[in-house]
Amino acid sequence: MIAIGFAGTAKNTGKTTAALTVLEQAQRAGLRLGLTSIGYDGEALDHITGLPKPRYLAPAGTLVTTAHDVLDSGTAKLQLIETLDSSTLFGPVVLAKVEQPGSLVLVGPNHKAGLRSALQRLEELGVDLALVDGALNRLAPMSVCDGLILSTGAAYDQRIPVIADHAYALYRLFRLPVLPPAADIQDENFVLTYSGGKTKTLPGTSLLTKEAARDLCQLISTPVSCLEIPGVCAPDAILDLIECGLSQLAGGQLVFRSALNLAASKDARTWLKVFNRALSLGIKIFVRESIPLRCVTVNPIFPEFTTRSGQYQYGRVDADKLIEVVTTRLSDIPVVNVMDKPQPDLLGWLEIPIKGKNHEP
Amino acid sequence: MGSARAQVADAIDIETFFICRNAEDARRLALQLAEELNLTDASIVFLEYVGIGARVRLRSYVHRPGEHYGWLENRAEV
Amino acid sequence: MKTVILAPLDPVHDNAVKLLQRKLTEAGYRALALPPGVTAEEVIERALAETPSAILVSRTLGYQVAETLSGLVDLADAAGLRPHTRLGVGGMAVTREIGAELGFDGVFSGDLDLAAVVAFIENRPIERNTAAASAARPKPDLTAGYSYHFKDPMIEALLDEITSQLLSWVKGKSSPGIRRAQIREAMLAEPTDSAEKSRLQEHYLQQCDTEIRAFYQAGNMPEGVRWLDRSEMERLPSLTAAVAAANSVRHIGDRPLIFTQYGTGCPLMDAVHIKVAEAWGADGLLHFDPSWGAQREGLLDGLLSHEHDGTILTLDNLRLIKTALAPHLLWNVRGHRGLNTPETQVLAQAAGADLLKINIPYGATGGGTDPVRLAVDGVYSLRLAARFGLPFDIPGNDELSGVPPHKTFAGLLVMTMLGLKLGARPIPKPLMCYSPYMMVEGCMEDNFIDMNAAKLRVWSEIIDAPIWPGEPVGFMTHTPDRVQSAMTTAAHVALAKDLGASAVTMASSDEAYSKGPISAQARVDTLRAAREMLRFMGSAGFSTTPAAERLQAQLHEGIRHQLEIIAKRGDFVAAIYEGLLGSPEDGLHPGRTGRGTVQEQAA
Repeated sequence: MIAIGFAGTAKNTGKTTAALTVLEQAQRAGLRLGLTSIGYDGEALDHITGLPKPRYLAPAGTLVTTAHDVLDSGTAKLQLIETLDSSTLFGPVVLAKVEQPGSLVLVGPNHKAGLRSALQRLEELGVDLALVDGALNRLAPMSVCDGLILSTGAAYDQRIPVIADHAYALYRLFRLPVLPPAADIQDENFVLTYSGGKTKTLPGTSLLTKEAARDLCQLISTPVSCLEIPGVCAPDAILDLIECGLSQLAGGQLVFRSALNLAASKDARTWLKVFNRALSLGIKIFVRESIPLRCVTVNPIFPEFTTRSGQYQYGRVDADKLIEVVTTRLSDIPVVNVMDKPQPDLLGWLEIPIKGKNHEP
Repeated sequence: MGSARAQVADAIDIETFFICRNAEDARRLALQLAEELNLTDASIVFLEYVGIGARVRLRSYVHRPGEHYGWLENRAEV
Repeated sequence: MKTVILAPLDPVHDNAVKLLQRKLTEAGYRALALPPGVTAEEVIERALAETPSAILVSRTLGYQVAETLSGLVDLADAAGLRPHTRLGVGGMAVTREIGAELGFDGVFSGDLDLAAVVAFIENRPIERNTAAASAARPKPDLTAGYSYHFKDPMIEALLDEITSQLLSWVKGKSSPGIRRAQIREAMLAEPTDSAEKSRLQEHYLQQCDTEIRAFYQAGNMPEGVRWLDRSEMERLPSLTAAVAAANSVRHIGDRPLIFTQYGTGCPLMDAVHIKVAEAWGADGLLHFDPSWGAQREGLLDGLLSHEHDGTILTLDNLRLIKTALAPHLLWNVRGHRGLNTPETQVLAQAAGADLLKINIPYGATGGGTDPVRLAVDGVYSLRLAARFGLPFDIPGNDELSGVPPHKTFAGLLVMTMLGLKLGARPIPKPLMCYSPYMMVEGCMEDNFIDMNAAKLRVWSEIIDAPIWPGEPVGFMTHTPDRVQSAMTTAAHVALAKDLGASAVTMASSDEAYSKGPISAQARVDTLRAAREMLRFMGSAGFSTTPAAERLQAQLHEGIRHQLEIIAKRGDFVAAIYEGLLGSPEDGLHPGRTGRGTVQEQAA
């Protein structure tokens, strides 16, 4: 099974539209589908803006993991198979099968561990392709997926260069070189490695504030060849660490646990400053785990609050220019507007092995 | 005789109760009702969903401050 | 001691956080409140150091705020906190749907519900009025804890004399109403389609008016009545599940129980109104039937809808309505005033009612039934209430015709004593109202508190019994304006609570609207208003002026004096005819329906 996460840079960037496009293409290809969400998807109107939202129309036979209380919120007829081990604001997460096609509301596991076990069950039940719809700008649970489709657009920012910079920063995070897991490194602490290969463990896992960065810096008194940080990091804190520990860190390596641990904090664009500063000091940056970014979708439409009516309406930026500028920045992965015709081959970019499979009709 | 709507000082409120499944349903129904009643510039002032349905106050502004008011223009014509 | 981190995630406001910190500290938690302006990164850093059981965030929602909140959730997940730290969010406009979208485990909106917050921190279900919880909730007994001990021996002696006379007078008397009740009980004991049941039905019809017979024999429907469709019936169950997370009208304490009335004419619409009342916090419902039902000998049968006020009393209608009532709700079926009073008690009990309603003097005047007939039927009905083990309430609505309260209360007390003598449990219902008598006499010109306080407090000088102001409270203070109507109802509910009432019956905000049925939204309005008023009052109370004590003393004396007159008359039924419990001058006339139908039974 392949699990694909649909992540966004903000609300209303087109995650669900991208997921629905893949769903439609996978259905045509005869794949056995699994669907879930880390948020709340499938509602007719957006909970915040009140604007219409794309709805999930699931073919018969699709397996879904969603919350018990929303099982009959759509028009699809669902057969409950089993209750899974995580719960949501809408009751326990359950596994169900679409018996009669129709619309669905998806409220699946809202964190990484819950999503991991839900995907595991879908795989055991013979799903070929599992689609995980994201929520707002949340990325962390997606670390258990096999690939990511990132949606961005004018809902993130109405300035096209800012959208492009931000997408580029995320792209860079997902493209950080990956080191194999280090067997001798303890998970829960900072680890310093000196030039002779000797290591030292320092208390702490994450660097989220400047104060924490300075505290750590004061503990690094001699030059190190590698600093490994297992937890989450804020780019501001890492910049401070680099500036504070210039002489000890220069020419060495900074190793983070996961690209998603970096993407979770603040504006990803600040990481570009980190990368540039590290480059100038000869510091190489690695991660232990990453997730392949398969493609980026862009959405020129955004909800705009109008004081005239006190409500949200649709606004839009120049669609052609948006796709052109973002494509220029992300030169080697596909960038598409899924509303364009002909519809882009998202399924093809996901590299899903579909030939030779024996599928239910 | 001018339209009654023009004589509305500022807004029309509709007080009602929807039998529906959840608050989201109620929001959708309220805005749909506004459309069906041809009420423009509609918004939901108050909505409380409990169990069986939702108590809703739906508002449609006819005149917002700063606009040209129908009731003032009609008066000028008189 | 479990640790909880409280974060405003707001540049300025942290009142909710401070309040919650105090409450959680009192509840035995280590509640760490972070200052306004703290970032998601700082919250997570603190959480990594403290490993809290929960992080609770308070923030009013706006479009950009959503991303800030979801950023915190994402960081918590990436940092590995989620397996042991629950994430909750509270604030204006945060709904369950938004909370789920943001990835939170819990959402808190509206007033602080500490029990819900604690349940969330402890990761156990929040106890709500779910179907199971409703079924598990014991039904409150309004009469529990009351001794019915008379504190005024003079009144007790007078009531003993009056009721002894009445009980001896009814001996050997019967009526078509009593015979139908007896036949109905026999029919209920028979299996459907039994030959005996058909024979009983024939016998029943012999005791009915021609109009009722025509319904059974020729299928003639009274005007505005129709059968319910099968398809309508089949769709009803979706409306009848118990309401999850229903509101409570009360802020503190378990009294007064809140009752509302229904009787839209259609049992299906009644089901909707019952669910609305349940959802917005009612504890009980009262069934109202059409006024013409009281004036015909015999009741209709089957599932019937009616285009006008009042839902037709049939066993099928009652059973259908019962399916809409959550198990914890109390249910009263009124049968206090007409020609079918005894049979109504039988049907109510068979359908599962919890309370009955019987008042002879009121039904024999304001209700329009002949005093002789209702005295005979009423006493029989009280015997049924005793046999069924169901409490009965005694409405005092004759005040609305202009009767002074001391006369109405004399009648309520006679019914109370009568019920006690027959082994039933009475609940007097003095009316909190702005009655014609009060308007004429000017007793309530300054305020509505003194007189109502006098009317409720006088009971505690006479007898230790539950008091249930109804039907509804604030009668004649309502106008068709919904704000005014909800406001006056709420004020009367709060006053009733302050005066120690066991229950109140509440109107909707359509109480004074006379051109159509009550709307669902009007039901919500008064329940919301009462909830707000009880929240506002809490344990605080009203204060009366010196007039209240004077009015109470006058009322007490007036009751005693009136009972003396009735006792002296030596014939309770004659006393009703002669206006001793409300005269034509007061606005009350003895009823005439059913005159001449009471028969002496052969010894």
